[in-house]
Amino acid sequence: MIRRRRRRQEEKPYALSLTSLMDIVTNILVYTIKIFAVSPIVIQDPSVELPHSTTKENAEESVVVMLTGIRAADKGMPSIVVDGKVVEWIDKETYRVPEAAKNNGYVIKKLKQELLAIKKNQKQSAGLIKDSGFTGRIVIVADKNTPYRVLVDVLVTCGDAGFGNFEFAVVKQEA
Amino acid sequence: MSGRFRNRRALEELPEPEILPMMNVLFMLVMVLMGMSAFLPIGVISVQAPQLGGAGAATATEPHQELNLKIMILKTGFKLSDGSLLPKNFSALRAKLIEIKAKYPQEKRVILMADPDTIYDEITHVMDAARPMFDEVAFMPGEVL
Repeated sequence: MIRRRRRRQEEKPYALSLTSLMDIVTNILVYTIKIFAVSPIVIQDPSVELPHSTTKENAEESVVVMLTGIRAADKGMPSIVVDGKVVEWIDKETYRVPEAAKNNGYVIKKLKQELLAIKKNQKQSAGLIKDSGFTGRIVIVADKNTPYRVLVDVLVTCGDAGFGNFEFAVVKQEA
Repeated sequence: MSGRFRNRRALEELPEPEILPMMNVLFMLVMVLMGMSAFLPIGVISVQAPQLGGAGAATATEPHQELNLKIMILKTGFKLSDGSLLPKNFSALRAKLIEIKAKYPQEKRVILMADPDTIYDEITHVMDAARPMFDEVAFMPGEVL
């Protein structure tokens, strides 16, 4: 009787236990997400393709002005985005910021308005939160096909709003 | 008695949860995240604010600057403020900038101007060519035609 039961048990197909493997994969996943989250600049717009550079400087957390590419989802138009919010559209045909949207030929009105609001918030938080305050640092995340005329408009506007420390986001590559 | 046996057998025959599809999803997530983090190491290039007053304003604020080297990116090549014209070759530009740096070792600043159609990618390559001889890069608004 006992022998028969043992034989029956031996004949049973052995089920592969995936639980331990599952644990390992979950650990790797958590670790990867943690590493991934370390980068202060997250580019979620697929239309933004950064240029490559031999720079050694690392990105730090600051205000991000993004100049999206021509393949942007909304109306297929490139746009100027500040901290995830579209503030101005760039004309798709001429690839210029419309003249009506500017002052002095360079200063983009809505962008300046948005940056001044951020500056005000940063100055207000200076006394309330430790290690915060207005630094004047701004990161420009631009698609590699953005023309110089749009870039200069954005730089002049940022400078006019008081943000004088520019950093261009690039993809690091070996020299 | 027989009811209790039936329950035990039912427990023994309870199917294990199917975790293989979930494993596949997790593996894919790990691969995608690893790929993205490995291929997109984001860095930055520091630049200075453009001055609406042009080169004169730059000289007024920093009197110790002697050269105020300007690089103009044209459609066909590069024009430097010392009058030299170079073809659109980043190695040639770099060689010329090394030559200038040897003459003016104190100089750290370079001012960039470009044709309005010049793309950002090209500007980045010019900034790369200027580094590390000229760490401070400034932009000057205006159109080079």
